Amino acid sequence: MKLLGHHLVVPLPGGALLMRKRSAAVGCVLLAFTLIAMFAAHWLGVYPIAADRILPLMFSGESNVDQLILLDVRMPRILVGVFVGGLMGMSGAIFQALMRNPLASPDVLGFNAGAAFGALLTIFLFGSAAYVFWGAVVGGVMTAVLVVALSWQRGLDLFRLIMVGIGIGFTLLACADFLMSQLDIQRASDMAKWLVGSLGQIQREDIAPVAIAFVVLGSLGIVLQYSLDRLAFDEDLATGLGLKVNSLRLLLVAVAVVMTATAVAVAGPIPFVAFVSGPIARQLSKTPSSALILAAGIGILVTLLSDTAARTLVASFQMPTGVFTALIGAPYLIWLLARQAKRNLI
Amino acid sequence: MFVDVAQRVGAADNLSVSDKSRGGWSLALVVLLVVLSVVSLGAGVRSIPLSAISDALWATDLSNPDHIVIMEMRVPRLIGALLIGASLAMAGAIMQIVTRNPLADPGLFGVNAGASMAVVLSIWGAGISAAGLFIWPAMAGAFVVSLAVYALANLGQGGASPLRMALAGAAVSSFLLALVRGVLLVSQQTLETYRFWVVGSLQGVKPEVLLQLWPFFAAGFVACLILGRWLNALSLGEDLAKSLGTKMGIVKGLSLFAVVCLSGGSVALAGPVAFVGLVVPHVARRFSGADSAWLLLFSALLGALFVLAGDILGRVLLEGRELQIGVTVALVGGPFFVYLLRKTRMMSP
Repeated sequence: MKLLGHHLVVPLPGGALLMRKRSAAVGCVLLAFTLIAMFAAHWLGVYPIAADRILPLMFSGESNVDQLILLDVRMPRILVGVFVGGLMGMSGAIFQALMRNPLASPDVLGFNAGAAFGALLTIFLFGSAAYVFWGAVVGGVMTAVLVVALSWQRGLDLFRLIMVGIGIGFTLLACADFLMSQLDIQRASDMAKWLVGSLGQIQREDIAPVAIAFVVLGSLGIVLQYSLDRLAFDEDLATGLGLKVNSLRLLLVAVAVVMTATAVAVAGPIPFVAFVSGPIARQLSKTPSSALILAAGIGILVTLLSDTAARTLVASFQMPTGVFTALIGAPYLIWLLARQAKRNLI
Repeated sequence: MFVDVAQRVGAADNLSVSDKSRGGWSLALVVLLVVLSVVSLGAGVRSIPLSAISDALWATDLSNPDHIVIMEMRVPRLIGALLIGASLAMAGAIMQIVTRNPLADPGLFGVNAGASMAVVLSIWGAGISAAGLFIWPAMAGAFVVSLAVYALANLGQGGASPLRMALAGAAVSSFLLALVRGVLLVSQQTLETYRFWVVGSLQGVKPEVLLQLWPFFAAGFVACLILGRWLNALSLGEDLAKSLGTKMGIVKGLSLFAVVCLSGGSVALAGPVAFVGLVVPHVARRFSGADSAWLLLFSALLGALFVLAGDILGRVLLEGRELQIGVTVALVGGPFFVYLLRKTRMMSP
């Protein structure tokens, strides 16, 4: 690792990662906060576990109630929260940079609506939530294919992609509303709960898919970040730099869609994380780049804090995570905006 | 800042529409609107022939059940559909020009979120449950929250930049909607009343309601008349507009006033109806070209047409039941919008 002007050069196999010093610092702080939040999330809960016993319990192989709650209940939920938050944060940042529009998060573009509709359709058809994961993945990916196919015209027309996505998203949400109005109240309220987005139903088996998606797609995203930032800046410049604009866009859309579809499939469409992570990461690091690693960090923190609040604040009642993501993320974004507006930064 | 300069130049080339064709199209749309209005009065669970409609309008006889249906239900409903269609579309057009973001819609000012919050609080806290009583809470919520969003976006020097506006609006809206969701999970009773309000419905539009709300729509329409020309300068970008002598503060203030009156009135009248404000201006731009006065006019006409057609379809499609306007508009409007996008080259504002 060495310094190069305002940048930090991190050697990697087959290349090197160039990071601005400020981004690297923000990244370290985020990592520290994430670790603290993860520890706190293991500690806090309705069932009391002493803070100094957490690490011993994890590695000792004892088997008692404490260990059961820690390893079978809290840890899967926390790990899935970390991966889901990271996936949503990165996916949002990719879309926002690619479309050059801070409002263009996957919730707005109809991809989440596709995943949600697929999941609801399986509840509607099979009467249980057993196939929700595959319904959401297939729904999200199929919607994305449809949106891309419909907006393709001698290349990917980004403005049309946004508009087609919005049109299809609204239609799918209306279909979902219609499905819900056709059901008995019990199944309808199951669907309504799923639509808020929650980590409450997470089990150990849920860790693997999101963990794999996080590692594979996350590294793909980081590799692609250089091209993404050039694409986001100027198309002609990107072409001049020898980037294949159309295939890169397709690849980035594909990566971001699979990210959001996997996250939604496991945790439901948790709102706000994808929308908020990119802008906050950029404003903290003061970089024009899409700052995917930092966006993932913000996504993780927002999700983790929200889920811990959802679990612990009201002991008698399990609030879904989705209620708290906006309650925690929005005031922070507003504060950041107000502070930066005063200093005239944006 | 969100718009490619190249795209903007392309837009000016492609979208030079002559005044003659604008006049012709607006006339054609008005005729279509009149025809659909008559259809809307006649169609429904109880189908009423044309002669009875004209009798009911010109020589009302309140002992005739057909006349009662027309005057008490269908006419207010027709007026409601026309008002919210035109209002939401114009409010959307204004938002897209002022924030220079093609994804902006009236909801971005927090109007819908504010109204939803106020309605939920009035059900949960005050125990209001009759649909007609939500007008004033909805209106108050829409006003307070949109002012807060505007104030937040205006902090610091330089006023509300498009980016600040977008982030502030989206942040405040999602914060309030999360609160709403929380309340709904805690109180099932609130959910029971709220879920019928939130899909957006024209069923509750009664003469009394229209009499209470018309000043807001009137004020909004007048503001749009004044804004038409002013917004042209704004769509060139803020710096250029300033150097042309535009008073940015006044234009933005009046825009806020228009958007709040129009979309606040709509959400009070029929609940939150999405899609119209976001999508109709993009279609209207096909007819109007880049001129914002014409854009507002075509948005109003197309919005009214769209909501009216959606309302008729919603009443006719399912026999004996009706599909709420919020659902129909998205169900029918979505595919139609995608078709239009494929058919024609549409431009960002």
